[in-house]
Amino acid sequence: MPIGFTSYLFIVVVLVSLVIYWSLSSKPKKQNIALLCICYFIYAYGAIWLLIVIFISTVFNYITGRLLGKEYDDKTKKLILTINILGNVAYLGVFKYFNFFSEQISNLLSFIGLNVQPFLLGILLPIGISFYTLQVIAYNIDVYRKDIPATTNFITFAVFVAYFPKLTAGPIDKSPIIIAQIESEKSFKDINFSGAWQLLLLGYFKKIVIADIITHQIAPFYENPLDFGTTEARIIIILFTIQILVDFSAYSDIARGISRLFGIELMINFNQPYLSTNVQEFWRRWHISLSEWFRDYMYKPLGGNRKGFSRLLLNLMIIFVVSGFWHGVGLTFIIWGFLHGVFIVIYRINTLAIDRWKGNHQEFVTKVNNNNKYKIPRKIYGLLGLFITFQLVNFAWIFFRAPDVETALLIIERAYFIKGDLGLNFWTSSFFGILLFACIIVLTVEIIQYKLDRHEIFTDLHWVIRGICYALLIIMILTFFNIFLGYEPFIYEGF
Amino acid sequence: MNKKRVTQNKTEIKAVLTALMILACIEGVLWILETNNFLDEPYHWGNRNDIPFKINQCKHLFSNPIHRDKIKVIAIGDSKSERAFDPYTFDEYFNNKTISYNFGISGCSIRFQAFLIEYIILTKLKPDFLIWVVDVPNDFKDHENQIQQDIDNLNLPMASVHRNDFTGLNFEEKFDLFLLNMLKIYQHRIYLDLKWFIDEYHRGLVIAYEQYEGDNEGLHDENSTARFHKESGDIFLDTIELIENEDLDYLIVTNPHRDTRILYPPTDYLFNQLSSKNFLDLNGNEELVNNSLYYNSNHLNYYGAQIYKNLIGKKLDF
Repeated sequence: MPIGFTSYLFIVVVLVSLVIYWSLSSKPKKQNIALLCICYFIYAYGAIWLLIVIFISTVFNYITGRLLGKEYDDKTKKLILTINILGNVAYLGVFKYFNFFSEQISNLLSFIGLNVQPFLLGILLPIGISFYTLQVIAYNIDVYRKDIPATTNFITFAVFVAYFPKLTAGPIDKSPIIIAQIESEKSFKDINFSGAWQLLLLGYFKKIVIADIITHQIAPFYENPLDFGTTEARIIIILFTIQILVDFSAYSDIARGISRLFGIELMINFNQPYLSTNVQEFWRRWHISLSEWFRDYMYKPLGGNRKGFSRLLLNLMIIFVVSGFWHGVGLTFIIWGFLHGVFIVIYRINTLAIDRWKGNHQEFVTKVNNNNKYKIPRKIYGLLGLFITFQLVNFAWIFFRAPDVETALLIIERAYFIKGDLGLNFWTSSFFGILLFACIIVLTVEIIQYKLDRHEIFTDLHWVIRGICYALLIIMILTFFNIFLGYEPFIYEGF
Repeated sequence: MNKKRVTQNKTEIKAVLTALMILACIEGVLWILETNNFLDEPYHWGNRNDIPFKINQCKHLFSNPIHRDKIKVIAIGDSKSERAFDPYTFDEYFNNKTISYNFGISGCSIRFQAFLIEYIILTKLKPDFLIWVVDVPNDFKDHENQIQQDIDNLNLPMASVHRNDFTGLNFEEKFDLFLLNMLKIYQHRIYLDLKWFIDEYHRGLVIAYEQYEGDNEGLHDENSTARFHKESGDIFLDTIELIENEDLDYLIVTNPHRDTRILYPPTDYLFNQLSSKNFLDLNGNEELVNNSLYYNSNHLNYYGAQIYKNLIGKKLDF
């Protein structure tokens, strides 16, 4: 198990690492060796086997990258790339999907009367393998496409694969950007300390004060949904929707903040996704690095929107089902991906219909767009889109969180089909207090970030006010830190 | 760009220093409040939050001005004492010259009772009189599970902080305790005023009215032949010495049993060292050998508790 972001040990190790790292700033090569050691130490602390798994992947991808960078003919290069992609998928598959497929095959065989025990591998999922596998595949494709020269320095490449802030849950940054930063000479004076500090504080606040509290409150519901009333079920489903945003965006904020302290800028992974007015926009704001990966390395090679509308819809469905399966093993994740695929397909069909209608009624459209009289209806239309998008996303998260499909269906029945008792009164439910608290804080932060168009929300405040805000945040973090006497991992660390 | 970043970073450092100064001020205020005994025991006792609850309830009771001139009595022990010592009728027995609190804590063995006496009762609650109810032979048996329970309880965060003993903990636990020890903000981070949820007149007594119905466990023979745990005996004597050094008046009471006196000779040397003034042996007391006074094999019910109170009352002279 890697050292978690919210453990004391992590904070101590990072502080010590920063001192070592910056003391070597005049010697970039040594600095990168030190960084690699830090990454491996944090990743494989107490679990050396993780180091072996990531090292094998690193060596394999380094070699294929070097081969792809050489002047071979197209056919050979294609072959190398195919070997690379198949190798990486197989590597991920063995650890992540082997047992799942083995069980499914066994189930299928028992369906036709053949009782065969599934062959199961007794191995754990190496944390972060889903993320760094996508990253190295992208790197090899980039080299193949000549978007980036193959990295000749093994240490640089190893740091790129194992860079600890992003290792266990992303963001899956573009390889040219990250590699260039690792290779560049860095100066302590260039650190964006202000931005790093704000991201760290906000990230820890979101994780410890909001996400972890919600995690503990809602866990019993997903084990026994029938113990809860309809009102509670609805609140809890929304709470998970908030939790997953807060938890994951907190991870990204902390990762970006720490990375800045090491002089490496990571990409923004979340951009107020719940303020989206349609599902397509949602995916441009949610887990941006993953969406971009699927767009660049799967959607476009599949033909994207260049092969007709029907093919576009099929491509979208494929991408979302694969994305669901990438997230986790099990039917629930596939259904979650499938649902998002369906939402996007409906949205695209609807958009096409509206565009055609607009084309036929251009005069009316221009009148509505330019007339102030329609300003409020336009805003209401936007809010309606926001509401519907939130409801759809909220519904799909049920499958993402539920342990299995049966439980997910029970949750839907409990929450959406009122059967007799409504359960607790909405206002007196203890979950309502948490919902209110979480909503106020999350919405405030999201709206400020949306308006400012940046994640560092305190920058424009006077330093005294800023100091008071920081003190409040630190008190809240200290108040809730380790309150449940145990490390609560980030949701996406499980993938 | 670089100049702008330097300015930004300078402003940020000023803001962070402001935040640290605010935190330092809050920390200072908390230190002062705690030094002057204005702060309650932090609710950081893991699954034993009944302990800080009792500490705080007892502290509030004793600091109430209407009880200023009364004799402050604490009865400590395990669940048997928790169910047997009735502070209301005890105070009535002495015409309310006393104000007593039942500090009996379920699952609290001799080692943990000794810890509570040393670090909580003597230092924080400062009663005028201590009634320490010990269970013979259970408290002195070489009982593996019981000893493990002791160790677990003494590893509770606040128990470790009070004892200033961080041994046997991993890095995360040590760091957590370090923060608990060093930062008052961290120590007092959760102020759950549990008294809101508990009857105001409740003073630590757990009452059972029903009579004993069966439950013949046949433990007596096993108990009387159990191996003696010498360390528990030493802890008991050390604590008595500590109480005497603190000039605190006390009474050691042995628990009654429903059928008969349970003989356990290894403990005799412990009680022989006590003066008769400080010792009341209720083990096998005739008035309490009666199944109808118990609600289960070794816990008194309400009616038994009244007789128990009278017996203690007769022994004391307030």
